[in-house]
Amino acid sequence: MAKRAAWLPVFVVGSVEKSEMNAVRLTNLPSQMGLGLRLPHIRQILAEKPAVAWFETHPENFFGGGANIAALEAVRVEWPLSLHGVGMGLGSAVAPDAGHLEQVASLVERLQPAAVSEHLCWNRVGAHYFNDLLPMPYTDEALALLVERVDAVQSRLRRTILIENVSSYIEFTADIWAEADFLAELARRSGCGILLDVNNFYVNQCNLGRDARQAMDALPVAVVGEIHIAGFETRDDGMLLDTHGTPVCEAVWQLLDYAWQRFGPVPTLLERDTHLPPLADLLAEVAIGEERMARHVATG
Amino acid sequence: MSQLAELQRAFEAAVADPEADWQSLFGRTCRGVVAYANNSLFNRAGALDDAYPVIRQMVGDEFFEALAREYARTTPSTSPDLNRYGGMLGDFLAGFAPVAHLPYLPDMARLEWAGHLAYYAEDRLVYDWSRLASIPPEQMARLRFRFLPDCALLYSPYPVASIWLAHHGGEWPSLDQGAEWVWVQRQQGKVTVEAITPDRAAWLRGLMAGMPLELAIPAALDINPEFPLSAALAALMTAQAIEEIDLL
Amino acid sequence: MSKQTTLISTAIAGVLALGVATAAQAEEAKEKCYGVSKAGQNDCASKDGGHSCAGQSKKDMDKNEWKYVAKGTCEKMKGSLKPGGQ
Repeated sequence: MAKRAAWLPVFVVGSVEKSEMNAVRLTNLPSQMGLGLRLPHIRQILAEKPAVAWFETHPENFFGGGANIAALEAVRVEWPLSLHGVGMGLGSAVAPDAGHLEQVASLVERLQPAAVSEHLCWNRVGAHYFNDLLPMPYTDEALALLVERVDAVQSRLRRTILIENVSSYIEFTADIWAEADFLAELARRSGCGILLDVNNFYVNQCNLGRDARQAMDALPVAVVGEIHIAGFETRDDGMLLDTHGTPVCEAVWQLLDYAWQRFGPVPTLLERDTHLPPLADLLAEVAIGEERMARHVATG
Repeated sequence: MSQLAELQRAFEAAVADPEADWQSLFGRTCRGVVAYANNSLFNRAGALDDAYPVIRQMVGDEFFEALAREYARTTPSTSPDLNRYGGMLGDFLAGFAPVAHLPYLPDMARLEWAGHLAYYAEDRLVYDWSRLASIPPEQMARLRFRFLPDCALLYSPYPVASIWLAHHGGEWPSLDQGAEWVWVQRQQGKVTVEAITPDRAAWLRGLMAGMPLELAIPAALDINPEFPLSAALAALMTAQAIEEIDLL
Repeated sequence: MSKQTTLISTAIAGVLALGVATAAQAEEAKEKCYGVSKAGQNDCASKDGGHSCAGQSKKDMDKNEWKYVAKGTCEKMKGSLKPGGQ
């Protein structure tokens, strides 16, 4: 009953093909703008079939059966799809929830997505979950653990995954690595790709004083398989909160130009989670991104 | 304990008490911990939105949001999937003094949670009832029914099915209507709720517990000597509630 | 056969006579529906909680007062609150 997309290659860890833009092809997404797919829009998307190159969604909202997964399978028939996990908490010191990985694995099997990604984060102490993307301490021990965990996920899914840098509101005094160096080293040792979230680097630049361009410079060109952009909100005390609740600001668009210059026009996603506007507004913002990307490709 | 485990435990303590001094852990960035305390609370509180739309209508938005925060504050999450958070709201409401005058709320929360689980229940193939024709009639008393995971049966001393239906376009019931047995099921992707008669409920309860037909029927006959078995079976068939039927 | 066995086999014969939905039809019906009604609660966004400070996560009930009043459809409920029996 699961619809198999026989035309999509199955990604196997360690055997990746060359592409024009990147030395290593990390996803099967088109090098165009995509849109974060949120359930309140899914019926409209299926009815109107908007001209979006690809969609990305959180697998956790499609666990089990019923209407959600039925609708997502229908989306998958029409568009390339990326599964972007939020629940693995790969960097938690306690062993990960095996059932969670199995549920993701069964969705990957059922949908054969063009990309699978997760976050550089942890989410759990003992039996209790934060249901949040918590920042890692950048230590050697954390790095070794993450290499092991990413390897386990890639082995189970039998494909390369992308790991995304997160927004952070604190940093640990125990850090001995810079965030971007840590991520680059994780990619080097585990063979995973990197999902570069430009907005998260910008939020961290403003909140923590980490230079976003420097961070991007620290990432090897070949390992960035996807880019994210989103909007943030500013708290009363000036702290930036990564709410994905506003349109993308000009500073982040400019950082995205910088990222495209460095990494090429890799598949780039507009994310929106809170204050979800009408679909048309998001499509208009995606169109702005397409225009900027096209300009970049023309001049780059 | 590893350094990583220690740091994560310390982080947890900081989130639980964000206004304490966490400089040794986070240095100049320690004020940022408030964002995690907020997020941890509001992520969980917000997760109740999907599961409890009727409870929200019954108590109003402002009350519901404060209730959700209070539940989140006192109830940790035990799943990485937020769609699994909130299952204890019925028990929580039963002990929550500000709603003591609304004693049907806990059962309504249990009903809505059963519907929430039904919404996300695994897809399974439905039993093909024509297969029953191959079973010899004298063995049919030993038939056992396995229900699809999107089915649930509940009992309440209050008319909670009728109250639920009133929030979906039905008539407003009187609380004096008394107890109801409630059948919850996902049909064509949508959660349906139905008040069923006590005789059929007694029969279903036995079947769902794994009893063969012959052992499940007496409880129904005790309530109603005219218990319409054929109609009850036909309802199970047309509701597509059964995954497998076998012989004990 | 006992009386109950006869009752059961007669009832099932009646059900089968109604004509039965095949598993394939049932499955088809289930797959074609996109009655999506839940937003899904997992996302990767931070919640600002209306810019409030969450030290409040400790404060709500410490004040030992609950300032909210249930003002919803429960006001429409008629009848007494005597639980029905069983």
